[in-house]
Amino acid sequence: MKKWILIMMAMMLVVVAGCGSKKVEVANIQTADLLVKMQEAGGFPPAGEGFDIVNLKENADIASKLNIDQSLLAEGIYMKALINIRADEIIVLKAMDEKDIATLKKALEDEAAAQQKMWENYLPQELDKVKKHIIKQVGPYLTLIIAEKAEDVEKAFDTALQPAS
Amino acid sequence: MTNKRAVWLTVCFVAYIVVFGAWSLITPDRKLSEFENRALAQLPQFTTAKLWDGRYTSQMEDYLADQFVNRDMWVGIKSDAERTLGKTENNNVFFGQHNYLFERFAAPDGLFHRNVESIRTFAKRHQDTSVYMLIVPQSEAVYPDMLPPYASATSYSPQKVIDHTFQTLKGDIVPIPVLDLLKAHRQESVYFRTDHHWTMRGAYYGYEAFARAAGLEPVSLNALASRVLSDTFYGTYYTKANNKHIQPDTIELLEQPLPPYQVCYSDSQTCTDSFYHLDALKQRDHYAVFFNGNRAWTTITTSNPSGRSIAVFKDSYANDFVPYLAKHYTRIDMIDMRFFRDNVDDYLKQHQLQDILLLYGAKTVAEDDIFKWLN
Repeated sequence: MKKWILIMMAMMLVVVAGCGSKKVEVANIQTADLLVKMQEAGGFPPAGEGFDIVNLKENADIASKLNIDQSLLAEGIYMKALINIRADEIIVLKAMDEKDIATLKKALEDEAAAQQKMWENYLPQELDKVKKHIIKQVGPYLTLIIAEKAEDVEKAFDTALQPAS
Repeated sequence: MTNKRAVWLTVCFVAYIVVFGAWSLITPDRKLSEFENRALAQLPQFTTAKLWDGRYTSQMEDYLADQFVNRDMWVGIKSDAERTLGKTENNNVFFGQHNYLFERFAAPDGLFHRNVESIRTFAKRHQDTSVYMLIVPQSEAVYPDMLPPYASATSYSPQKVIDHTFQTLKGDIVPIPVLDLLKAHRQESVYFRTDHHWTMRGAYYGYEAFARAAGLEPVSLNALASRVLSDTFYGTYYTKANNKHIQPDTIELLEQPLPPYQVCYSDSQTCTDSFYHLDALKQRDHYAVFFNGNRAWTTITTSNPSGRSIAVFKDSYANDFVPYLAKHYTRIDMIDMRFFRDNVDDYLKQHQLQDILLLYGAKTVAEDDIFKWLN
Protein backbone atom coordinates (compact mmCIF):
# COMPACT_ATOMS: atom_id res chain seq x y z
CA MET A 1 0.00 0.00 0.00
CA LYS A 2 2.71 2.39 1.05
CA LYS A 3 4.61 1.65 -2.14
CA TRP A 4 1.57 2.53 -4.19
CA ILE A 5 1.19 5.84 -2.44
CA LEU A 6 4.81 6.61 -3.10
CA ILE A 7 4.51 5.72 -6.78
CA MET A 8 1.37 7.83 -7.09
CA MET A 9 3.08 10.79 -5.45
CA ALA A 10 6.06 10.45 -7.74
CA MET A 11 3.76 10.41 -10.77
CA MET A 12 1.93 13.48 -9.49
CA LEU A 13 5.22 15.30 -9.15
CA VAL A 14 6.14 14.46 -12.72
CA VAL A 15 2.78 15.69 -13.94
CA VAL A 16 3.01 18.91 -11.95
CA ALA A 17 6.59 19.52 -13.06
CA GLY A 18 5.56 18.81 -16.64
CA CYS A 19 2.82 21.42 -16.44
CA GLY A 20 5.16 23.99 -15.02
CA SER A 21 7.79 23.78 -17.67
CA LYS A 22 5.32 23.76 -20.53
CA LYS A 23 5.88 26.92 -22.50
CA VAL A 24 2.79 28.63 -23.80
CA GLU A 25 2.97 29.02 -27.53
CA VAL A 26 1.38 32.12 -28.91
CA ALA A 27 0.97 33.70 -32.30
CA ASN A 28 3.20 36.64 -33.03
CA ILE A 29 0.87 39.53 -33.71
CA GLN A 30 1.27 43.28 -33.37
CA THR A 31 -0.63 44.83 -30.47
CA ALA A 32 -2.26 47.33 -32.84
CA ASP A 33 -3.70 44.49 -34.93
CA LEU A 34 -4.75 42.71 -31.78
CA LEU A 35 -6.61 45.83 -30.66
CA VAL A 36 -8.48 46.04 -33.99
CA LYS A 37 -9.76 42.49 -33.52
CA MET A 38 -10.73 43.23 -29.93
CA GLN A 39 -12.54 46.43 -30.93
CA GLU A 40 -14.53 44.53 -33.52
CA ALA A 41 -15.55 41.91 -31.00
CA GLY A 42 -16.56 44.54 -28.46
CA GLY A 43 -18.77 46.37 -30.95
CA PHE A 44 -16.62 49.51 -30.92
CA PRO A 45 -16.88 51.72 -33.99
CA PRO A 46 -14.47 50.74 -36.77
CA ALA A 47 -11.38 52.98 -36.93
CA GLY A 48 -12.16 53.87 -33.33
CA GLU A 49 -14.24 57.01 -33.91
CA GLY A 50 -14.76 58.81 -30.63
CA PHE A 51 -11.82 56.96 -29.13
CA ASP A 52 -8.26 58.00 -28.61
CA ILE A 53 -5.75 55.34 -29.61
CA VAL A 54 -2.22 55.80 -28.31
CA ASN A 55 0.92 53.83 -29.13
CA LEU A 56 2.47 53.34 -25.70
CA LYS A 57 5.89 52.53 -27.08
CA GLU A 58 6.03 55.93 -28.82
CA ASN A 59 4.13 58.13 -26.38
CA ALA A 60 6.30 58.30 -23.26
CA ASP A 61 4.00 60.83 -21.61
CA ILE A 62 0.86 58.69 -21.67
CA ALA A 63 2.82 55.54 -20.79
CA SER A 64 4.20 57.19 -17.68
CA LYS A 65 0.74 58.49 -16.75
CA LEU A 66 -0.45 54.91 -16.85
CA ASN A 67 2.58 53.93 -14.74
CA ILE A 68 3.81 51.68 -17.50
CA ASP A 69 7.59 51.45 -17.77
CA GLN A 70 8.25 51.86 -21.48
CA SER A 71 11.58 50.06 -21.31
CA LEU A 72 9.77 46.86 -20.38
CA LEU A 73 7.57 47.03 -23.44
CA ALA A 74 8.12 45.43 -26.80
CA GLU A 75 4.89 47.09 -27.88
CA GLY A 76 1.81 48.59 -26.32
CA ILE A 77 -1.44 50.25 -27.28
CA TYR A 78 -4.12 52.12 -25.33
CA MET A 79 -7.71 52.86 -26.31
CA LYS A 80 -9.86 55.27 -24.33
CA ALA A 81 -13.17 57.07 -24.92
CA LEU A 82 -12.26 60.60 -26.02
CA ILE A 83 -15.08 62.87 -24.89
CA ASN A 84 -17.98 60.60 -24.18
CA ILE A 85 -18.77 59.78 -20.60
CA ARG A 86 -17.92 56.14 -21.03
CA ALA A 87 -15.64 54.00 -18.93
CA ASP A 88 -14.60 51.84 -21.90
CA GLU A 89 -10.89 51.31 -22.12
CA ILE A 90 -8.56 48.68 -23.59
CA ILE A 91 -4.83 48.36 -23.03
CA VAL A 92 -2.76 45.72 -24.83
CA LEU A 93 0.90 45.25 -23.91
CA LYS A 94 3.62 42.95 -25.12
CA ALA A 95 6.43 42.47 -22.64
CA MET A 96 10.00 42.56 -23.85
CA ASP A 97 10.95 39.93 -21.31
CA GLU A 98 8.69 37.45 -19.51
CA LYS A 99 10.24 38.32 -16.16
CA ASP A 100 8.66 41.77 -16.34
CA ILE A 101 5.14 40.53 -16.85
CA ALA A 102 4.32 40.85 -13.15
CA THR A 103 5.37 44.52 -13.11
CA LEU A 104 3.28 45.31 -16.16
CA LYS A 105 0.33 43.39 -14.78
CA LYS A 106 0.55 45.45 -11.59
CA ALA A 107 0.29 48.65 -13.66
CA LEU A 108 -2.89 47.32 -15.29
CA GLU A 109 -4.35 46.35 -11.93
CA ASP A 110 -3.60 49.81 -10.54
CA GLU A 111 -5.21 51.44 -13.56
CA ALA A 112 -8.36 49.33 -13.11
CA ALA A 113 -8.47 50.27 -9.41
CA ALA A 114 -8.05 53.97 -10.21
CA GLN A 115 -10.87 53.81 -12.75
CA GLN A 116 -13.12 52.11 -10.24
CA LYS A 117 -12.44 54.83 -7.69
CA MET A 118 -13.25 57.48 -10.28
CA TRP A 119 -16.59 56.00 -11.26
CA GLU A 120 -17.66 55.12 -7.75
CA ASN A 121 -20.01 58.03 -7.14
CA TYR A 122 -21.21 58.36 -10.66
CA LEU A 123 -23.06 56.39 -13.32
CA PRO A 124 -23.84 52.90 -11.95
CA GLN A 125 -23.85 51.28 -15.40
CA GLU A 126 -20.35 52.54 -16.15
CA LEU A 127 -19.10 51.58 -12.68
CA ASP A 128 -20.44 48.10 -13.29
CA LYS A 129 -18.39 47.91 -16.51
CA VAL A 130 -15.24 48.86 -14.59
CA LYS A 131 -15.97 46.39 -11.82
CA LYS A 132 -16.25 43.62 -14.41
CA HIS A 133 -12.91 44.51 -16.00
CA ILE A 134 -10.74 41.66 -17.23
CA ILE A 135 -6.97 41.47 -16.92
CA LYS A 136 -5.44 38.65 -18.87
CA GLN A 137 -2.06 37.36 -19.83
CA VAL A 138 -1.19 35.02 -22.68
CA GLY A 139 2.52 34.44 -23.22
CA PRO A 140 4.19 37.86 -23.33
CA TYR A 141 0.88 39.59 -24.09
CA LEU A 142 -1.20 41.34 -21.44
CA THR A 143 -4.51 43.12 -21.65
CA LEU A 144 -6.88 45.20 -19.56
CA ILE A 145 -10.42 45.24 -20.89
CA ILE A 146 -13.14 47.59 -19.65
CA ALA A 147 -16.11 47.17 -21.96
CA GLU A 148 -19.78 46.27 -22.02
CA LYS A 149 -18.96 43.03 -23.83
CA ALA A 150 -15.67 42.42 -22.00
CA GLU A 151 -15.89 38.66 -22.34
CA ASP A 152 -16.33 38.84 -26.11
CA VAL A 153 -13.32 41.15 -26.30
CA GLU A 154 -11.36 38.69 -24.17
CA LYS A 155 -12.33 35.86 -26.50
CA ALA A 156 -11.04 37.85 -29.48
CA PHE A 157 -7.75 38.42 -27.60
CA ASP A 158 -7.43 34.69 -26.89
CA THR A 159 -8.37 33.61 -30.39
CA ALA A 160 -5.99 36.03 -32.08
CA LEU A 161 -3.11 34.75 -29.97
CA GLN A 162 -3.66 31.08 -30.72
CA PRO A 163 -0.70 29.80 -32.74
CA ALA A 164 -1.56 28.84 -36.31
CA SER A 165 -1.55 25.07 -36.46
CA MET B 1 -32.05 13.18 17.76
CA THR B 2 -35.41 11.50 17.43
CA ASN B 3 -36.55 10.21 14.09
CA LYS B 4 -39.44 12.64 13.98
CA ARG B 5 -37.22 15.60 14.58
CA ALA B 6 -34.78 14.50 11.88
CA VAL B 7 -37.62 14.23 9.34
CA TRP B 8 -38.93 17.65 10.35
CA LEU B 9 -35.51 19.22 9.99
CA THR B 10 -34.89 17.63 6.60
CA VAL B 11 -38.29 18.74 5.27
CA CYS B 12 -37.70 22.32 6.42
CA PHE B 13 -34.22 22.38 4.93
CA VAL B 14 -35.28 20.98 1.55
CA ALA B 15 -38.42 23.14 1.47
CA TYR B 16 -36.32 26.25 2.13
CA ILE B 17 -34.05 25.48 -0.81
CA VAL B 18 -36.86 24.43 -3.14
CA VAL B 19 -39.22 27.29 -2.33
CA PHE B 20 -36.66 30.07 -2.57
CA GLY B 21 -34.91 28.39 -5.51
CA ALA B 22 -38.13 28.00 -7.51
CA TRP B 23 -39.35 31.46 -6.52
CA SER B 24 -36.05 33.04 -7.63
CA LEU B 25 -36.22 31.05 -10.85
CA ILE B 26 -39.67 32.29 -11.86
CA THR B 27 -39.07 35.90 -10.86
CA PRO B 28 -37.71 37.79 -13.87
CA ASP B 29 -34.12 39.08 -13.48
CA ARG B 30 -33.64 42.77 -12.74
CA LYS B 31 -30.98 44.88 -14.41
CA LEU B 32 -30.73 47.67 -11.83
CA SER B 33 -31.52 48.02 -8.17
CA GLU B 34 -33.15 51.41 -7.61
CA PHE B 35 -32.65 51.08 -3.86
CA GLU B 36 -28.94 50.32 -4.04
CA ASN B 37 -28.49 52.38 -7.24
CA ARG B 38 -26.28 49.85 -8.93
CA ALA B 39 -26.35 47.38 -11.78
CA LEU B 40 -27.19 43.85 -10.68
CA ALA B 41 -25.25 40.80 -11.85
CA GLN B 42 -26.75 39.00 -14.83
CA LEU B 43 -26.66 35.28 -15.69
CA PRO B 44 -23.01 34.63 -16.63
CA GLN B 45 -22.04 33.15 -19.96
CA PHE B 46 -20.58 29.69 -19.62
CA THR B 47 -17.20 28.77 -21.04
CA THR B 48 -14.89 25.99 -19.91
CA ALA B 49 -12.00 28.43 -19.65
CA LYS B 50 -14.00 30.55 -17.22
CA LEU B 51 -15.00 27.52 -15.18
CA TRP B 52 -11.36 26.49 -15.04
CA ASP B 53 -10.00 29.79 -13.73
CA GLY B 54 -12.83 30.07 -11.19
CA ARG B 55 -14.47 33.11 -12.71
CA TYR B 56 -17.65 31.30 -13.72
CA THR B 57 -18.49 30.12 -10.22
CA SER B 58 -17.76 33.48 -8.66
CA GLN B 59 -19.95 35.23 -11.27
CA MET B 60 -22.67 32.67 -10.61
CA GLU B 61 -22.44 33.43 -6.92
CA ASP B 62 -22.88 37.17 -7.57
CA TYR B 63 -25.77 36.44 -9.90
CA LEU B 64 -27.62 34.31 -7.35
CA ALA B 65 -27.05 36.85 -4.58
CA ASP B 66 -28.13 39.81 -6.73
CA GLN B 67 -31.20 38.15 -8.23
CA PHE B 68 -32.48 36.60 -5.00
CA VAL B 69 -36.23 37.17 -4.59
CA ASN B 70 -37.09 40.39 -2.79
CA ARG B 71 -33.43 41.28 -2.49
CA ASP B 72 -34.17 44.89 -1.52
CA MET B 73 -36.34 43.72 1.37
CA TRP B 74 -33.63 41.40 2.72
CA VAL B 75 -30.98 44.08 2.36
CA GLY B 76 -33.27 46.45 4.29
CA ILE B 77 -33.95 43.87 7.01
CA LYS B 78 -30.24 43.19 7.41
CA SER B 79 -29.43 46.85 7.82
CA ASP B 80 -32.39 47.39 10.19
CA ALA B 81 -31.25 44.47 12.30
CA GLU B 82 -27.72 45.84 12.43
CA ARG B 83 -28.95 49.26 13.46
CA THR B 84 -31.07 47.74 16.20
CA LEU B 85 -27.93 46.08 17.47
CA GLY B 86 -26.31 49.50 17.70
CA LYS B 87 -24.33 49.62 14.46
CA THR B 88 -23.88 53.25 13.40
CA GLU B 89 -22.54 52.73 9.87
CA ASN B 90 -22.92 50.67 6.74
CA ASN B 91 -20.58 50.52 3.71
CA ASN B 92 -18.45 53.26 5.32
CA VAL B 93 -21.44 55.59 5.61
CA PHE B 94 -22.19 56.87 9.11
CA PHE B 95 -25.74 57.35 10.33
CA GLY B 96 -25.58 60.82 11.84
CA GLN B 97 -28.10 62.79 13.85
CA HIS B 98 -31.14 64.46 12.26
CA ASN B 99 -31.12 62.16 9.23
CA TYR B 100 -27.61 63.23 8.21
CA LEU B 101 -25.37 60.69 6.51
CA PHE B 102 -21.59 61.05 6.28
CA GLU B 103 -18.91 59.02 4.58
CA ARG B 104 -15.72 57.79 6.17
CA PHE B 105 -12.73 59.53 4.60
CA ALA B 106 -9.64 57.33 4.32
CA ALA B 107 -6.26 58.87 5.17
CA PRO B 108 -4.70 59.98 1.87
CA ASP B 109 -1.71 58.13 0.46
CA GLY B 110 1.03 58.99 -2.03
CA LEU B 111 -1.49 59.76 -4.75
CA PHE B 112 -2.62 62.89 -2.87
CA HIS B 113 0.93 64.26 -2.93
CA ARG B 114 1.33 63.42 -6.61
CA ASN B 115 -1.96 65.20 -7.32
CA VAL B 116 -0.79 68.34 -5.52
CA GLU B 117 2.49 68.24 -7.46
CA SER B 118 0.58 67.89 -10.75
CA ILE B 119 -1.50 70.95 -9.82
CA ARG B 120 1.67 72.86 -8.97
CA THR B 121 3.26 72.02 -12.35
CA PHE B 122 0.09 73.15 -14.09
CA ALA B 123 -0.20 76.38 -12.06
CA LYS B 124 3.47 77.27 -12.62
CA ARG B 125 2.98 76.94 -16.36
CA HIS B 126 0.08 79.40 -16.17
CA GLN B 127 1.70 81.98 -13.94
CA ASP B 128 0.60 84.77 -16.26
CA THR B 129 -3.04 84.13 -15.30
CA SER B 130 -4.70 83.94 -11.91
CA VAL B 131 -5.15 80.31 -10.94
CA TYR B 132 -7.79 80.15 -8.19
CA MET B 133 -8.40 77.01 -6.23
CA LEU B 134 -11.48 76.15 -4.20
CA ILE B 135 -11.65 72.83 -2.36
CA VAL B 136 -15.04 71.83 -1.00
CA PRO B 137 -14.81 69.85 2.25
CA GLN B 138 -17.16 66.96 2.90
CA SER B 139 -20.17 67.76 5.08
CA GLU B 140 -18.63 66.11 8.14
CA ALA B 141 -16.22 69.05 8.41
CA VAL B 142 -19.17 71.43 8.73
CA TYR B 143 -21.36 69.21 10.92
CA PRO B 144 -18.85 67.24 13.01
CA ASP B 145 -21.22 67.27 16.00
CA MET B 146 -23.80 65.28 14.02
CA LEU B 147 -21.46 62.31 13.53
CA PRO B 148 -22.08 59.23 15.69
CA PRO B 149 -19.83 59.01 18.75
CA TYR B 150 -16.22 58.02 17.99
CA ALA B 151 -16.80 58.15 14.21
CA SER B 152 -14.47 61.09 13.74
CA ALA B 153 -11.60 59.07 15.20
CA THR B 154 -11.87 56.64 12.27
CA SER B 155 -12.22 59.23 9.53
CA TYR B 156 -9.59 61.59 8.15
CA SER B 157 -10.16 65.32 8.45
CA PRO B 158 -11.07 67.01 5.13
CA GLN B 159 -9.69 70.24 6.58
CA LYS B 160 -6.23 68.68 6.75
CA VAL B 161 -6.37 67.88 3.04
CA ILE B 162 -7.39 71.45 2.25
CA ASP B 163 -4.78 73.01 4.56
CA HIS B 164 -2.01 70.81 3.23
CA THR B 165 -2.90 71.54 -0.40
CA PHE B 166 -3.08 75.30 0.10
CA GLN B 167 0.09 75.31 2.17
CA THR B 168 2.03 73.31 -0.42
CA LEU B 169 0.77 75.41 -3.32
CA LYS B 170 1.34 78.72 -1.60
CA GLY B 171 2.38 81.32 -4.14
CA ASP B 172 1.36 79.13 -7.08
CA ILE B 173 -2.40 79.38 -6.69
CA VAL B 174 -4.88 81.80 -5.13
CA PRO B 175 -6.59 79.76 -2.39
CA ILE B 176 -10.30 80.27 -1.74
CA PRO B 177 -11.01 79.00 1.77
CA VAL B 178 -14.68 78.15 2.31
CA LEU B 179 -14.86 75.96 5.38
CA ASP B 180 -15.34 78.74 7.93
CA LEU B 181 -17.95 80.41 5.74
CA LEU B 182 -19.89 77.18 5.42
CA LYS B 183 -19.63 76.60 9.16
CA ALA B 184 -20.98 80.09 9.82
CA HIS B 185 -24.04 79.30 7.69
CA ARG B 186 -24.50 75.69 8.74
CA GLN B 187 -28.09 76.29 9.82
CA GLU B 188 -29.07 76.99 6.22
CA SER B 189 -28.72 73.45 4.79
CA VAL B 190 -25.46 74.09 2.98
CA TYR B 191 -25.04 70.35 2.32
CA PHE B 192 -27.39 67.58 1.35
CA ARG B 193 -28.05 65.10 4.13
CA THR B 194 -28.11 62.03 1.88
CA ASP B 195 -25.57 63.04 -0.78
CA HIS B 196 -21.90 64.01 -0.87
CA HIS B 197 -22.48 67.36 -2.62
CA TRP B 198 -23.06 70.81 -1.22
CA THR B 199 -26.42 72.36 -1.97
CA MET B 200 -26.86 75.34 -4.26
CA ARG B 201 -27.10 77.43 -1.10
CA GLY B 202 -23.78 76.04 0.13
CA ALA B 203 -22.30 76.69 -3.29
CA TYR B 204 -23.50 80.30 -3.01
CA TYR B 205 -21.11 80.91 -0.13
CA GLY B 206 -18.33 79.34 -2.17
CA TYR B 207 -19.21 81.68 -5.02
CA GLU B 208 -19.26 84.67 -2.71
CA ALA B 209 -15.74 83.84 -1.50
CA PHE B 210 -14.50 83.28 -5.04
CA ALA B 211 -16.05 86.50 -6.34
CA ARG B 212 -14.39 88.58 -3.63
CA ALA B 213 -11.01 86.95 -4.32
CA ALA B 214 -11.40 87.56 -8.06
CA GLY B 215 -12.42 91.19 -7.59
CA LEU B 216 -16.03 90.70 -8.64
CA GLU B 217 -19.08 92.03 -6.84
CA PRO B 218 -21.12 88.95 -5.85
CA VAL B 219 -24.86 88.92 -6.39
CA SER B 220 -26.60 89.26 -3.04
CA LEU B 221 -28.34 86.17 -1.73
CA ASN B 222 -31.51 88.23 -1.27
CA ALA B 223 -31.60 88.95 -4.98
CA LEU B 224 -31.90 85.27 -5.81
CA ALA B 225 -35.27 83.61 -6.32
CA SER B 226 -35.60 80.36 -4.41
CA ARG B 227 -37.48 77.43 -5.94
CA VAL B 228 -37.75 73.86 -4.67
CA LEU B 229 -37.12 71.45 -7.55
CA SER B 230 -37.43 68.21 -5.66
CA ASP B 231 -38.25 67.03 -2.18
CA THR B 232 -37.69 63.37 -2.97
CA PHE B 233 -33.95 63.36 -3.62
CA TYR B 234 -31.97 60.38 -2.37
CA GLY B 235 -28.24 60.90 -2.90
CA THR B 236 -25.12 58.77 -3.06
CA TYR B 237 -24.75 58.35 0.71
CA TYR B 238 -28.30 57.06 0.94
CA THR B 239 -27.52 54.49 -1.73
CA LYS B 240 -24.55 53.19 0.22
CA ALA B 241 -26.22 53.31 3.62
CA ASN B 242 -29.08 50.90 2.76
CA ASN B 243 -31.13 52.65 5.44
CA LYS B 244 -34.70 53.09 4.28
CA HIS B 245 -35.69 55.22 7.25
CA ILE B 246 -33.67 58.26 6.18
CA GLN B 247 -35.85 61.14 5.01
CA PRO B 248 -35.30 62.35 1.43
CA ASP B 249 -33.49 65.59 0.62
CA THR B 250 -34.76 68.77 -0.96
CA ILE B 251 -33.09 70.33 -3.99
CA GLU B 252 -33.37 74.09 -3.95
CA LEU B 253 -32.66 76.25 -6.95
CA LEU B 254 -31.41 79.79 -6.40
CA GLU B 255 -31.92 81.73 -9.59
CA GLN B 256 -30.73 85.15 -10.59
CA PRO B 257 -32.32 87.07 -13.43
CA LEU B 258 -30.02 86.61 -16.44
CA PRO B 259 -30.14 87.71 -20.05
CA PRO B 260 -30.33 84.74 -22.48
CA TYR B 261 -27.34 82.39 -22.51
CA GLN B 262 -26.34 79.18 -24.21
CA VAL B 263 -24.94 75.94 -22.81
CA CYS B 264 -23.14 73.49 -25.13
CA TYR B 265 -21.83 70.05 -24.20
CA SER B 266 -18.87 68.08 -25.51
CA ASP B 267 -20.89 65.01 -26.34
CA SER B 268 -23.93 66.66 -27.84
CA GLN B 269 -24.52 68.38 -31.18
CA THR B 270 -27.23 70.59 -29.79
CA CYS B 271 -27.00 73.37 -27.20
CA THR B 272 -29.57 74.36 -24.62
CA ASP B 273 -30.65 77.65 -23.13
CA SER B 274 -30.58 76.56 -19.50
CA PHE B 275 -28.15 75.28 -16.85
CA TYR B 276 -30.94 73.11 -15.52
CA HIS B 277 -32.11 69.86 -16.97
CA LEU B 278 -35.47 69.26 -15.33
CA ASP B 279 -35.88 65.84 -16.93
CA ALA B 280 -33.27 64.58 -14.47
CA LEU B 281 -35.92 64.82 -11.77
CA LYS B 282 -37.57 61.80 -13.35
CA GLN B 283 -34.38 59.77 -12.88
CA ARG B 284 -32.74 58.42 -9.80
CA ASP B 285 -29.97 61.03 -9.50
CA HIS B 286 -31.77 64.35 -9.09
CA TYR B 287 -28.44 66.18 -8.71
CA ALA B 288 -28.06 65.74 -12.48
CA VAL B 289 -30.61 68.55 -12.77
CA PHE B 290 -27.51 70.78 -12.78
CA PHE B 291 -26.02 70.60 -16.28
CA ASN B 292 -27.46 67.11 -16.80
CA GLY B 293 -24.46 65.52 -15.08
CA ASN B 294 -20.78 65.71 -15.99
CA ARG B 295 -19.16 66.11 -19.40
CA ALA B 296 -15.61 66.30 -20.72
CA TRP B 297 -16.28 69.97 -21.41
CA THR B 298 -19.23 72.32 -21.19
CA THR B 299 -19.25 75.79 -22.73
CA ILE B 300 -21.49 78.59 -21.53
CA THR B 301 -21.81 81.74 -23.61
CA THR B 302 -23.63 84.69 -22.09
CA SER B 303 -24.54 88.11 -23.40
CA ASN B 304 -22.49 89.71 -20.64
CA PRO B 305 -20.57 92.65 -22.10
CA SER B 306 -17.54 92.26 -19.79
CA GLY B 307 -15.69 90.06 -22.29
CA ARG B 308 -14.17 88.20 -19.35
CA SER B 309 -13.73 84.44 -19.64
CA ILE B 310 -12.87 81.61 -17.28
CA ALA B 311 -11.94 77.93 -17.41
CA VAL B 312 -13.29 75.94 -14.48
CA PHE B 313 -11.48 72.65 -13.94
CA LYS B 314 -13.98 70.75 -11.89
CA ASP B 315 -15.70 67.72 -10.53
CA SER B 316 -19.43 67.54 -9.81
CA TYR B 317 -19.22 70.04 -6.89
CA ALA B 318 -19.02 72.76 -9.53
CA ASN B 319 -22.33 71.83 -11.12
CA ASP B 320 -24.47 73.86 -8.72
CA PHE B 321 -21.81 76.58 -8.37
CA VAL B 322 -21.08 77.61 -11.96
CA PRO B 323 -24.57 79.10 -12.69
CA TYR B 324 -23.64 82.00 -10.34
CA LEU B 325 -20.65 82.90 -12.53
CA ALA B 326 -22.85 83.73 -15.52
CA LYS B 327 -23.42 87.18 -14.03
CA HIS B 328 -19.74 88.06 -14.43
CA TYR B 329 -18.36 86.22 -17.44
CA THR B 330 -19.00 86.26 -21.16
CA ARG B 331 -17.67 82.79 -21.58
CA ILE B 332 -17.30 79.95 -19.08
CA ASP B 333 -15.74 76.60 -19.93
CA MET B 334 -16.08 73.72 -17.51
CA ILE B 335 -13.50 71.00 -17.95
CA ASP B 336 -13.81 67.66 -16.22
CA MET B 337 -10.42 65.94 -16.14
CA ARG B 338 -12.02 62.57 -15.48
CA PHE B 339 -13.21 62.57 -19.07
CA PHE B 340 -11.17 65.23 -20.87
CA ARG B 341 -8.25 63.73 -22.80
CA ASP B 342 -7.27 66.57 -25.14
CA ASN B 343 -4.29 68.80 -24.50
CA VAL B 344 -5.36 71.26 -21.79
CA ASP B 345 -2.98 74.07 -22.81
CA ASP B 346 -4.10 73.89 -26.45
CA TYR B 347 -7.70 74.12 -25.33
CA LEU B 348 -7.06 77.16 -23.11
CA LYS B 349 -5.13 78.90 -25.85
CA GLN B 350 -7.62 78.10 -28.58
CA HIS B 351 -10.51 79.54 -26.60
CA GLN B 352 -8.44 82.36 -25.09
CA LEU B 353 -9.62 81.68 -21.56
CA GLN B 354 -8.33 84.26 -19.09
CA ASP B 355 -9.08 83.16 -15.54
CA ILE B 356 -8.57 79.65 -14.23
CA LEU B 357 -10.47 78.14 -11.32
CA LEU B 358 -9.86 74.66 -9.96
CA LEU B 359 -12.96 73.59 -8.04
CA TYR B 360 -12.88 70.13 -6.49
CA GLY B 361 -14.19 68.17 -3.56
CA ALA B 362 -11.49 67.34 -1.00
CA LYS B 363 -12.02 63.64 -1.69
CA THR B 364 -11.26 64.08 -5.39
CA VAL B 365 -8.03 65.94 -4.64
CA ALA B 366 -6.97 63.24 -2.20
CA GLU B 367 -8.09 60.14 -4.06
CA ASP B 368 -8.74 60.58 -7.78
CA ASP B 369 -5.88 59.84 -10.14
CA ILE B 370 -6.87 62.54 -12.65
CA PHE B 371 -4.66 65.57 -12.08
CA LYS B 372 -1.78 64.03 -14.05
CA TRP B 373 -3.82 64.77 -17.18
CA LEU B 374 -3.44 68.52 -16.54
CA ASN B 375 0.16 68.30 -17.72
